[in-house]
Amino acid sequence: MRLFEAIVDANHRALAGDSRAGIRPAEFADALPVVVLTCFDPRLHPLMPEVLGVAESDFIWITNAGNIITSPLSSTVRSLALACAVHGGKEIAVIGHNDCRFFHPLQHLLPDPLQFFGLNVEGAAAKLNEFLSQLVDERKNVVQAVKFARASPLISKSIPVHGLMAHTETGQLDWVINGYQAAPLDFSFDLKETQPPSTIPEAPAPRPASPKEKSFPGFKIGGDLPPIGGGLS
Amino acid sequence: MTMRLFEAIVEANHRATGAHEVTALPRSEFAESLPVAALTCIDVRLNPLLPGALGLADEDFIWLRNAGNIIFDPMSSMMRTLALACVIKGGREIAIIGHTDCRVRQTSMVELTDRFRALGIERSRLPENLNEFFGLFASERQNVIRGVDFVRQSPLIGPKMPVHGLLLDLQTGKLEWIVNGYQTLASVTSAAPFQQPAAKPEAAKPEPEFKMGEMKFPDFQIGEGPADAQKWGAPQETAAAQELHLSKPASAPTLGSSPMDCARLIEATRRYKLIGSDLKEYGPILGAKVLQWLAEGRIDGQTPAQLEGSAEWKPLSNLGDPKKPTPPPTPPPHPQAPKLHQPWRKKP
Repeated sequence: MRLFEAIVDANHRALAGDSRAGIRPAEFADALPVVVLTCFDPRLHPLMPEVLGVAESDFIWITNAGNIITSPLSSTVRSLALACAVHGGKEIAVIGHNDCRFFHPLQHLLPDPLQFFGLNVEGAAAKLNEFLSQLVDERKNVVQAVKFARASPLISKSIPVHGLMAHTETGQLDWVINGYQAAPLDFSFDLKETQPPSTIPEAPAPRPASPKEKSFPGFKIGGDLPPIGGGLS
Repeated sequence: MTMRLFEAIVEANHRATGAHEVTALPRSEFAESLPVAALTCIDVRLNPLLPGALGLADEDFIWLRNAGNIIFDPMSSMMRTLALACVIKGGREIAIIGHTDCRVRQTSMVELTDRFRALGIERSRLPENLNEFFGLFASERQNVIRGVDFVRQSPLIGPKMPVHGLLLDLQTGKLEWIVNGYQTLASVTSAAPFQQPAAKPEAAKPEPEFKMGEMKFPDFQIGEGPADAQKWGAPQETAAAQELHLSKPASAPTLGSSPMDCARLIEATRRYKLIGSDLKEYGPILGAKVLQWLAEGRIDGQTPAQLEGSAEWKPLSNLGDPKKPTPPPTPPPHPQAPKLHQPWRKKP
């Protein structure tokens, strides 16, 4: 088993009640440190990196809004590339999470405009919505991020790029894309081409989850939004 | 006088330095300023150090991380991430926190090329100007100042939002306050930028002046394309815009036409034409690009500019649209926005 396979396996065993489940980092020294891109949601702080079972010193953490990668040359990919070239990252994982606020249209999320410190809300909202409209759902967003990272000329083909989902309450990890088994790219990105591919390939079916938790909670369309910034009360 | 959030953070940090123990801030006193949106580098040494150095609970800071805590321009995707941290996650103060001994700062272009080659990525596959593309910088301190300046200029961040710049010493855990966002705010708001855009220069700013001359700008070769990221990333730019020749050195801006003053007059989504110091015409280009060039010191307040649709050339610092007054700082409430549950507004 390779590093992330061992991580997911140990995670599922731990959720099933195995109190001794874990990984031995020494066995995976060749695959460490790992570079992890997540959303900046504060609910992830207690999970990262404990849920992976790797030490803080082997955990290169990049965060942005909605763990989105918008193109193979986006500034997030620059950070991924520097994380590998300068900080010695050996594997990359894009880890989405359930219940991400960025998958709701922005106009439903604007709280009291007084909060914005004089921001021109409508102008900014239009700009930000343009950015957010690229987000479809959490899993597809992870798939797209992995595809863009793999297609990037800045990321070595020798670096596995994984896609996973983390559950903020249970801590469960599920595969979206296993970077070790990833099929050859169905597109490639050339520096000379300026137009990134627009199709988002379907996510493969998730691996069978632990008996405890079969799926992530779905969104209730039109229902009440969960509290923003959960856990701040 | 009661202390404000970052005054208390820095004070508690300085008291604790040495013992490496920062007492947690009484969060009820600072509820109005929490959570904080903090941008740091990805360096793993920050993982255990930063939360303790700030003395903030996990849920009280939104941790944004990229390589080198770099902000490339006022509309970059890191900027959008910061803006979303504020409008969606309720961030109420922004801090860009650099750190000493940064590996991104220590890496030269040659070393970077070697490291990429070791990973199987040949030089020919990388952008021409690595310094510019990766935002490599010569000074951690200047990088923080530049980042704060870009955030301050960004139309995505409210003009009254405090934006701080700090530097964390990895050895001692000590925080150095480079840009005091409260002070900047006082001078910016008194200048009423939205009503009298060019009236008041930034000279009164009490924090370290943004010194263009000291900054490390990407090396351009005159007579050669700038080979910037836009060449690949932004197909909407015209060919002419990509051939900006930099034939004037980056120099300190004159009073009243500092990049920040001019930036307020530029609307990111409108198009502009410019005449470079090489007397060539550039554009039309998006305002976002103009902001970037301003920030990079390629153009300044004296650069002749024309708003698309107008036939009149004016210095950039006098560019106002008489037909369309700039919006007041506080817009009316968004009519469609429903009332939301806002846990961070709860009073204990």
